[in-house]
Amino acid sequence: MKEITYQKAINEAIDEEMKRDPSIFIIGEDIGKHWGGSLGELAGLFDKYGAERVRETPISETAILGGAIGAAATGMRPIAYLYFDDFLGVCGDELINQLQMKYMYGGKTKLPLTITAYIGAGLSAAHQHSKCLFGWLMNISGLKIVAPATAYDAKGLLKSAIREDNPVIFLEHKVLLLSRSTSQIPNEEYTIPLGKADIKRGGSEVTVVAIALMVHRALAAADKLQEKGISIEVIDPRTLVPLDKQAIIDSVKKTGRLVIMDEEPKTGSAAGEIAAIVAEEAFDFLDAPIKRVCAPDTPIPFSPVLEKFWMPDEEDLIKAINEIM
Amino acid sequence: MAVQILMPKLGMSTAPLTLVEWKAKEGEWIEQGNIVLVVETEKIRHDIEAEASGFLHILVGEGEEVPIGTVAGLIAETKEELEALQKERPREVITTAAEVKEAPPVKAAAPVTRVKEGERILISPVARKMAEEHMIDITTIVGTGPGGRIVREDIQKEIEAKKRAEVTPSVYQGKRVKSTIPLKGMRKAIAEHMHRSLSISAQLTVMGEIDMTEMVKLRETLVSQEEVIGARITYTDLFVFAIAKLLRDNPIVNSSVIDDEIKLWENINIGVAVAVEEGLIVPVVKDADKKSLVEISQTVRTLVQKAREGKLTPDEVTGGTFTLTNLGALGGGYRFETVIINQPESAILGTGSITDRAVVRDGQIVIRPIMPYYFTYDHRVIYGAVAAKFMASVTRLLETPTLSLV
Repeated sequence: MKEITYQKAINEAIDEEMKRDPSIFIIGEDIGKHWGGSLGELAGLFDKYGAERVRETPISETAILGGAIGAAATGMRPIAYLYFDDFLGVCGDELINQLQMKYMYGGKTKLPLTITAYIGAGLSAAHQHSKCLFGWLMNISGLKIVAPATAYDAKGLLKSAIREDNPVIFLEHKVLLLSRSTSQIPNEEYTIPLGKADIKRGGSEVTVVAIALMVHRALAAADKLQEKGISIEVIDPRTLVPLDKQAIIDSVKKTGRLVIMDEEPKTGSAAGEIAAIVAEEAFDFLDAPIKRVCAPDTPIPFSPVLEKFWMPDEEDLIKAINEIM
Repeated sequence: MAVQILMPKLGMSTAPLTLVEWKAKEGEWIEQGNIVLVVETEKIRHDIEAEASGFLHILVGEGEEVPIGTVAGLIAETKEELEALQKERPREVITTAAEVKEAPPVKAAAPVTRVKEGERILISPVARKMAEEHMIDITTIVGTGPGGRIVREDIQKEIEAKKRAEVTPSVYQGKRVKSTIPLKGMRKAIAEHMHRSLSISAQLTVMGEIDMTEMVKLRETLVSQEEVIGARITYTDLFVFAIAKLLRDNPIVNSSVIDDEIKLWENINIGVAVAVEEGLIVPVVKDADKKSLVEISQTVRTLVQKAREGKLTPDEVTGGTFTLTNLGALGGGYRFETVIINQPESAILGTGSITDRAVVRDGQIVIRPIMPYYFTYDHRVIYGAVAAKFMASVTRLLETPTLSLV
């Protein structure tokens, strides 16, 4: 076993996969010699694999994703480095129309393509660099969505995403990327299948489904509630598409209560979708209304004080849980 | 004027009461509404409240057993009154049953409905489902969830309480309950179907006998030829076969009242009532008039088998136009009953067991195998004369089965 940060986990996953498969290359902004990814997670890869396989581009999201799609359709296995998920709108046509190529061509082509992008608030980077577009992305058919919360999950899931023959977007939370905290991973190679949730903490009275950074806030809240005698089960779906519905439903069958903690405006959020699934498929097991602990339906404030208020935190979660106990 | 403290009648019990404890001493001031005395009967303790404020004068001591209606103590308004009472009526057992015509009724511990008529009950989905499964009346439960919502825990407590209550036989309206069968599933369907049939149509039953001499012979012959025919023919098969032919000639018997019309059915689909473990089911022999006796026999056998295994499909139990219920195999001898129409049909024929009876033939008393029949028809559709004519034709055909050849 070894200790590893979230940032290092991503670097290792890409490095190992590029070593294993010469058809893999990265394309995007600021990934080359000087930056190695804007938060440094790609450090050393340019020196190791050269400009052919770590292809730096101008600011040109349409070209980055469009080029990656073309390469994927013709036999390569690209990683399109989109920087922030906030910029996905620039390559909107590629995202919502062209990624679905395999389906439109009757399965005659495959599209092994991974998009990586930063998500999340917490760095006071303002609205255009801080969003989690989970709900928005979930509504795009034909795109798998990964949002890991730990270094262990990040490495195992990124390797699976790169090996997947269909388009995957891999979302990295900025706060986690910059965190010095580590998780233990095996020395030997491992992967984590897409579509498998992880029970981050077992409990019996309330199921909390938390996504990405929110997993850590939910775990902290669960510790506090444990002192008050309330037992919380924290489920990290890890991938939103495919979503491990069964793990969530099984947990709700046990606890009868569901709270979803999701760092995005409540309206149209992933939390809403998860709530709907449980209401639809596990209604008879619910012992309380489903609660969503999300952000307000506003743009993300630049002011650190307001941004902190905007982001869901432990106190918000504890308040929601107390309302249904 | 002193106020009496009476030994109350607790529920249905007429047994004597034991005074367990006086909550105040002789001569002490007691407040109206406070508990003054604890009594016990058949292991139930009951608190008696003071009906007035005043000074307590005890007449019956703790540990004594006294009948209902006994005045156990008095409440004096003033010190003077107390002293007078203490002189006039010292502590002793005084039975005042003669004076007190009826013991004061105790507030019954009837189930308290917590919810007003028409008010929405706050209850979680899982609690509602559990309450339904365990037949728990949610209107009597006080929810402990947020905003008074009934939650899983509340129902769980109720289920446990119910289980405890089931250990000692429960009492309903003064009668002890041995066990309870939920009226649901097939039982509920049958109950509703039968009741509905009686309430929406004008049913009456004509009854009579059929001399089965020839039919018995015919069946014995058919059974002896089982290998040749390839089926073991039953009386039910023969009845279905015969009735199918006769319904063709009596279309009004093969009809249904639907809205303001009587629909005479072209299809002759005969339902055959089958008793199963849970109750009763009526699979249908479709187009029975177009089937041979062997085909009918095979169809009935398959349907009965499926009915017993609970494998009938909805299609196999719907679409009937007439029902036969052959109760002969159930035994019971010579008897009659009023069978109920299987809606939306207009008639049903019940047949009993074939019994040797003394009958008169050509001026002689002879023994013949006799089968009782009961033909219930809907008088909205079928009138007495039509019913009589139809049953005459049934009787004729079963008594002279050779006619089925013509």
